[in-house]
Amino acid sequence: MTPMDLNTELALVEQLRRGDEAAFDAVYDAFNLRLFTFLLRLTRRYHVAEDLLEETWLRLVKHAHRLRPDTRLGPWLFTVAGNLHVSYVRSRMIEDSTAAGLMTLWPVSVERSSPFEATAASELERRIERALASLPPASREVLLLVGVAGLDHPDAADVCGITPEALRQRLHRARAMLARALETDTRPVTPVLKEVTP
Amino acid sequence: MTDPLLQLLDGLPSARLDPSRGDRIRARCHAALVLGRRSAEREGGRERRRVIAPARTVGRWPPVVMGLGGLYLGAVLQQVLALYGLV
Repeated sequence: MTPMDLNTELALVEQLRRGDEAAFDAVYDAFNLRLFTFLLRLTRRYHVAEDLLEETWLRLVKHAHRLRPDTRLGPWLFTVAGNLHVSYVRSRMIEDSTAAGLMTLWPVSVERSSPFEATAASELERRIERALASLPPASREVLLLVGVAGLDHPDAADVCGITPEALRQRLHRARAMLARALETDTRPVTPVLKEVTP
Repeated sequence: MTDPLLQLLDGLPSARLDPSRGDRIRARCHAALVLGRRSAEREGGRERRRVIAPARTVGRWPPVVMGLGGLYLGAVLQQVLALYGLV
C-alpha cells in the first residue's frame, strides 16, 4: 500500500481537475494495485477485474474536471469500483436467471475458486482466500476495504454508503464469519504456484 | 491494525496486473484527459464570447431603438394633428 498524505492528495485533485496527465500517473501508481487486488478478490475473475479496473480509471478521467477540490481520491476510487462491481453482479444475475434452464442441462459442476486461492504461497493463505471467497459480497467488501486496501473506518463507511457505526457492526459480523469459515475449512491442499498472473 | 485476523488479511499478496493491460489503461486515460482539456478550453472560449457579446449589444442598440421609437411617435402625433386640422 502506498501512503498518500492529505495535502499531496488535494494537490493531485487540483491538477486532475485541470486534466494534468502527470497527476493522473501519480494517482494511478498509488492506487492501481490496491484497486485491482480489491476488484479481483471481489469478482474472483481475472478478466472481469481487469475490465472493472479500466472502467474505474476511465470514470475518474471523465469526471476529473468536476471533482470537488476536497475530494478524497481513495474513497472516490473504491466507491466507483464497488459500484461497478454491484452493476456487474446485477447484470450477471439477470443473465444467470435467463440461462438457469440451460444450466440444468450442463453436466459439470460450475463451482469456481478464487484466482488467489490457486496461486497462494502457503496453506494458510489458501485457507484465508477460500474463507474470503465463501463470504457474502457485502461482508467480503468490508473486510477487503479495511483489511486489505487499508482504508480507515470513516473512508470505508463512505465507500459502503453507511455510517461509521454501521460499518463497525458490519466489520464485526464479517470478521466473525471469516473466523468461522477458517475454522470449518477442511478441504485438501491444492497445487502451489508463486504469483497471481493472467 | 491490531486485530490479528485483519493483520492476516493485510499480509495477503497483491494481485498482478498484466503490464500490457496496464499500459493500455494508462494510454486510454491520457487520451481522455487530453480530450477533456481541449473541450474545456473550447467551452471556456465559448463562455468568454457569450459574456462579451451581450455587453456589446446592450451598448449599441438602445439609442437606435429609442431614435426609431421617437420618429414613430412623432409621425403618429403629426397624423393626429393633421386629422383634427391643427397643422
